[in-house]
Amino acid sequence: MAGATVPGAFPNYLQLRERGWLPARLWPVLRVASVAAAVATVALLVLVPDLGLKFCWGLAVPVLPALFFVAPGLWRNVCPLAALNQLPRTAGFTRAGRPPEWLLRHGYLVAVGGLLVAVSARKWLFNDSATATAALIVAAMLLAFTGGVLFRGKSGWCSLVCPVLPVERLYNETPFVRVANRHCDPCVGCTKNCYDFNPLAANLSDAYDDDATWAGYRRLLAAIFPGFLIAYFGLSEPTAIGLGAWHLAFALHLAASAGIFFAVATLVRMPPGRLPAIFAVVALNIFYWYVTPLWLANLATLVGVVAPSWLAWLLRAGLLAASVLWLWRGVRKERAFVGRLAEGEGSRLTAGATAALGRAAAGGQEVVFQPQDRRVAVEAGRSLLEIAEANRLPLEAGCRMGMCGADPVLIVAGMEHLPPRGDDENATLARIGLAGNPQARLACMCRVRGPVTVSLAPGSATGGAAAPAAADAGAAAPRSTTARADATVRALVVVGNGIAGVTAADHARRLHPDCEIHLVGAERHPLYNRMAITRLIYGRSAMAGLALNPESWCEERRITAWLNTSVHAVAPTSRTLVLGTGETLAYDRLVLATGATCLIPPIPGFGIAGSYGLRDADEAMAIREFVQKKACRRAVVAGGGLLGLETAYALHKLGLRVTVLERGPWLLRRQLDARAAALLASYLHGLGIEILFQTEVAALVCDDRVRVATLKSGEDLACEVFVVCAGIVPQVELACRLGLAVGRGIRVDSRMATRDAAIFAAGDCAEFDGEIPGLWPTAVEQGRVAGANAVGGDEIYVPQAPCTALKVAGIDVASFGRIDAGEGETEVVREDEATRRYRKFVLREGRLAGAILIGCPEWSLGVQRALKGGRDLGALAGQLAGDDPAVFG
Amino acid sequence: MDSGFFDYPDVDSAASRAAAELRFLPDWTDDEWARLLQHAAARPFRLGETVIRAGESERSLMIVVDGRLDVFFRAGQFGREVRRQSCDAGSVIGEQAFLDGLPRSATIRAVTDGRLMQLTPEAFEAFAGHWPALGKRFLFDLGRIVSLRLRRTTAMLEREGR
Ligand SMILES: Cc1cc2nc3c(=O)[nH]c(=O)nc-3n(C[C@H](O)[C@H](O)[C@H](O)COP(=O)(O)OP(=O)(O)OC[C@H]3O[C@@H](n4cnc5c(N)ncnc54)[C@H](O)[C@@H]3O)c2cc1C
Ligand code: SF4
Ligand code: FES
Repeated sequence: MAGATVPGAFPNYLQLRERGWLPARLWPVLRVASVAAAVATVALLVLVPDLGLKFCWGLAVPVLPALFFVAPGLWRNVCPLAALNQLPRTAGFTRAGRPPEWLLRHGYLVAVGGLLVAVSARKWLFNDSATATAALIVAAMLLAFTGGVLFRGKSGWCSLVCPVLPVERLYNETPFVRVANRHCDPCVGCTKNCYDFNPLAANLSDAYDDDATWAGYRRLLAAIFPGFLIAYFGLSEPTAIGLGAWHLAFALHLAASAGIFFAVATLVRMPPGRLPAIFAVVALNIFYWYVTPLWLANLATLVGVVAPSWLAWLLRAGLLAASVLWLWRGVRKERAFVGRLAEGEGSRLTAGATAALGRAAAGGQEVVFQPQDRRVAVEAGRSLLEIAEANRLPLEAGCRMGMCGADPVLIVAGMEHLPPRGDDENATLARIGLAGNPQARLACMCRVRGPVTVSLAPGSATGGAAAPAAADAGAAAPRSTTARADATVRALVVVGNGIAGVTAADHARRLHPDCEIHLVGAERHPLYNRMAITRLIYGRSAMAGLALNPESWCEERRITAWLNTSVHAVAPTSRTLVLGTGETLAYDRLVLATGATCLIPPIPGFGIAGSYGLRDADEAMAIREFVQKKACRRAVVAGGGLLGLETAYALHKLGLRVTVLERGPWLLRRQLDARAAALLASYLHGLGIEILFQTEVAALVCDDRVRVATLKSGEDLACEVFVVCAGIVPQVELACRLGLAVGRGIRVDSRMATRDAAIFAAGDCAEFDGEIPGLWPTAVEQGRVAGANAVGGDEIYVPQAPCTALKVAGIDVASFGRIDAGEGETEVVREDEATRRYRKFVLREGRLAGAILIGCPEWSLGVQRALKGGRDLGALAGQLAGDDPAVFG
Repeated sequence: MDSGFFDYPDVDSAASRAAAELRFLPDWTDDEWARLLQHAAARPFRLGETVIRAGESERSLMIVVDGRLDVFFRAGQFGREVRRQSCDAGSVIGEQAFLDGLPRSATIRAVTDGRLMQLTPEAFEAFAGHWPALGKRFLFDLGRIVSLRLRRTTAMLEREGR
């Protein structure tokens, strides 16, 4: 903590003055009185020596340590020497010089020397000599005054060389009564760690000083002080043992005391301020142990008041109690002091930056996540999914478009501050059994417009995933409500338990309550989020969270699931499938949802350890395993499409240096135009992912595993992991054996029926109208149609404009439908260079036909709905270039 | 000790110099801050809320916007919690875990309501991906501060070891 103000526990004298308890005008009066008293004492010493000595040494001086202990500031303000020292400053005739450097640094030693000499000399000189005592006082007054003439502030005496100063400073760290400095107006910064400036921090600041000598002097005085007083009171009179021997004994006492101090300091770890404080109070108690009875006796002789004999004990005990309290306060203060020091170690922002921070944090909507009870303030327009991710809360993600159901949440409060559920979201919620719960939402679809409280554990909240799935069976009602189940269908077999297959089985069951349904899948896992498998490469939680349906999903729907089982062969005449295990499955209707595999171009060397395609979870986990086993550092990804970039990002997150090879002139050619792709490429480059355009791999150079990727240009790239992401190949083998019409995929009509009316196909394996979009929403919709129609339904598949989002953190890239204006179409483009945002809308006859969004997640929901709804935007076209996503309603 | 207890008027004190040295990114413009903060998450906190728990392996960097928090360390053989420091507007917290990824060494509890800005390493990576030059300066300055504090700690240990 810096700056002129040190508030709180350590106020400086200016801050203390504000609470001064004595009117300022009174202080000069008190000072005149104290100087007068000093002069009177000198006079008394000269005129009535016996009385003077008794008064001075027996009555007045013994009170001073107690005063230093209780109200040190009071004495600093009224001491007659201080008054004389400050006279030249007040009167304006001080030279105000700066004491020499050595004196500033070692003045404390001078003062301690003065103290030791003066006090020890009491024994053989001052106690018995009124003249010497008077001379001592006069000399001190003259010195203090001269110091005041020569040096600035109080550095001529009080704060630098006054022999009483070291004693004052032993006790002044936690005064019972605080009195602010009334001398210095203004402070001129005359000495280091000035007590008068900051009384509560001065001692500790010395103890913690960077200059070991400076701090050491002060420890040394504390160390010898108890021994010093024991020597003073305990030793026989110097006259009895001889002055030399007496001084020797005196010195030995100091040495013994210091020895104990430093032994304890070595053996017991304590903060630097503690042991000096302990030694100081021990010394004080020793002093008053001896002095109290003597002082009471002197009081009796001088004033005639005879104190009762228990009073001495009472005073000693009182001091002891006060000492314990004082020490305890000291311990607490040192802790506070260290806290303040540590604050000084903290880094901070400049005031301007703090203001910018305040602006950035202002005006957000408060979102509370349960069960973590984490509050965040967010800009309106962010989705609950983005917010959860930014705050590292546990929430899975897949499509980011309400299609996969990876991110169900329950809205505990604030549903009115979210957009209403759309059709896609309802359908997905229905699949995962949550459509019947009015609180359930998919986080990616919830863009907040006001305060919201969300539960991330939809299963645990009331009526969550536990709600019977049956309640949802009708939630996403089939479009043709008149459809009747075909009673002749007894057994339906679905091959492939990806999203197309599972959706088909789901909708078949909705329509047909009692046919047998078999769902056969070659993979080991129940339906999982294929779109999120790159997370398996860099994430530490493996398959946890990737499953999309509750475990009991099949059972609740009376669907017989066959995992880790592939369909091998067919016997078309008898409508029977042969499983890899040799078992057979008879069907009345068959849905093929066999999906696709990776397209692997012919690359010499491909297939050796370290080369991969990426389509399923096991492949992703194999890559992670290989990278760990071989401690791989370099990776090359062939293909700059969505899958290639997501894979590259995953490998980057795993700590590899990644190079992406793109055949074309820019990334995501099917999703982005050149400008948007350039923004994306610059971001990926900033992350450290290298991208090479218009290149291809010619061959992999291997020993027992991949080592180098040789490009067609002849360039060699170090490469331990090579992943091909060059597109998909629909799995059509089974269809061929069944004698179905097959192009690139299995040819289907708009009912998803193949050439054989009992066999349907859906998803990445199906080709409709010559198209295989290879997208999740397509698989969902085709699965729905195929499943329903297989058991008697009459559904029609209508292709939707493709919607895709790139799943790379830190940049929002989304693409919808048409990305370039063709014949009869117009474009609206808006780019903001400074914030790296880019928007492009393609319009056909006033309706939205497509869009590209970079860095504008708050627009995507509206765009999606406008694409589907086909609303005429003609009148709003002008506003599309503006900044308000509300154009889409 | 450069504590700020003795900032005598008109004297350029060691304390204020030392504090100025620890200023984080003192030369950044509002625009540069805005770019960074776009990637940070604002997080309101309530009196009594534990914002960081010692031992947690959560590594975001936090900057206090307003309000006050206390920092507690476990000390001594019984692991008693000791208040060691308190932070308010403009304090930067958690840079060590942010840089080294080790578990939090202190517990931080709010003593008032307030807000802070939180920057996860992922968010920082995204920021630096968009603005590599700013990202470099950010890290360099954070490294400078951590190094300075190491120097000061070394000096403090030397003092205490006396
Ligand atoms: C990494 C990645 C990211 C993606 N990201 C997106 C995205 O962001 N947006 C998007 O829309 N799409 C995305 N996709 C594409 C999307 O995942 C697919 O379009 C979708 O999974 C297709 O589903 P499906 O059911 O048709 O096929 P699949 O999911 O491939 O399922 C087919 C299943 O059938 C099994 N099978 C095949 N043959 C047999 C057999 N003979 N016997 C038994 N079982 C068999 C397979 O093992 C497989 O489990 C992504 C794909 C990947 C790999
Ligand atoms: S440092 Fe300031 S307050 Fe202290 S004695 Fe000198 S002038 Fe007075
Ligand atoms: S449904 Fe939200 S991420 Fe897929």
